[in-house]
Amino acid sequence: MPEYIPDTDEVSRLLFEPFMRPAGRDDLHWDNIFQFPSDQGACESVVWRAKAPAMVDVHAIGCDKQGSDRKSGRTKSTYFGSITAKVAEIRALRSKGGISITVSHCPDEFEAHAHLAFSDGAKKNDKSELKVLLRAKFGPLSGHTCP
Amino acid sequence: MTSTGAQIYRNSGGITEITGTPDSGGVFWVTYALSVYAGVAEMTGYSNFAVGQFQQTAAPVDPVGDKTKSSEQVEFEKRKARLIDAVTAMKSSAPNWSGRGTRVSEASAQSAKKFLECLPGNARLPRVAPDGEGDVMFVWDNLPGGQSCVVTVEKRDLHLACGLGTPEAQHVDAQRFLGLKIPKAIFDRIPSK
Repeated sequence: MPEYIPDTDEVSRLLFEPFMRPAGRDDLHWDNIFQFPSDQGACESVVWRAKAPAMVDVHAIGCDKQGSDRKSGRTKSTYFGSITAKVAEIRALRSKGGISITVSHCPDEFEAHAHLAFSDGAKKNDKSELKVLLRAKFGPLSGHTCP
Repeated sequence: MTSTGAQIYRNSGGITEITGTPDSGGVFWVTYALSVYAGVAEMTGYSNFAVGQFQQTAAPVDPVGDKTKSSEQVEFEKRKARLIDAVTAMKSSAPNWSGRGTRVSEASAQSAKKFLECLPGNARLPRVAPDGEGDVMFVWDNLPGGQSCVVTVEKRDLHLACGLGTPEAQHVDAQRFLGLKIPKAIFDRIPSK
């Protein structure tokens, strides 16, 4: 059953190596980590930390996903760590058009699974603004290499 | 930043790019005609197919070689070319952090390249990203005062958001872009050096 995620909690975003990441970081690409892809429901998956309190729990979920991806043919899927943000800070974001980001529990894939999504009525500029602002709310990488 | 008629064609970043004259092999007049056509097309909503065809001829003309350009100008053009290459690559595969592939649409990539070509030499060059909906985002972050700005290229429309997350935030929604001239409402807000 989905539960309400309190503002006081945190969520972590699992990060997988971009397929086409250039050798080393370059100064041409802006890391648009939160793309809210339209072909995947226009939402972003995150880990609700109340259900996975230790970073080792988050990494275990990342490695599980890497394993299932590879079994399903996505052989390049490589988990390399996660970044974390406070739910209250995500929900407080507002675009010029008044659009916000919702954080909701979606325990369909695993118990700690949550979704970030745009509130109703988001236009292109609202989405782009929030993608940039959201990225800044997440802290530094907690790196990990799956065994 | 102001927009002049001379900025309608492929800018190279310096004064030489606005010196098209009747002596330069007729390029000025071809370009002028294209600008008029583009203006009409913008007003009427007609396709700019013909403009695109002619622009293939007009755009590559660069009457001044690298030797006469400042190092800043040369660097600007090199970076612009690398950005164009990055946009082109995104048609087949673009960065994504979800363990899946993503890409941008042909139409958005094409407009994004034209947008870069239209940026004048005094513009700051942005960084580029796929937006997750098949379109292209150009992001200027870490601007003076901690401001940031993003232009999203959606097929033949440009969207601009600046002053992100601040009370002074500005949105300019869906401005038609036919590949020759950045709409003034957006051009005026593009971060400059």
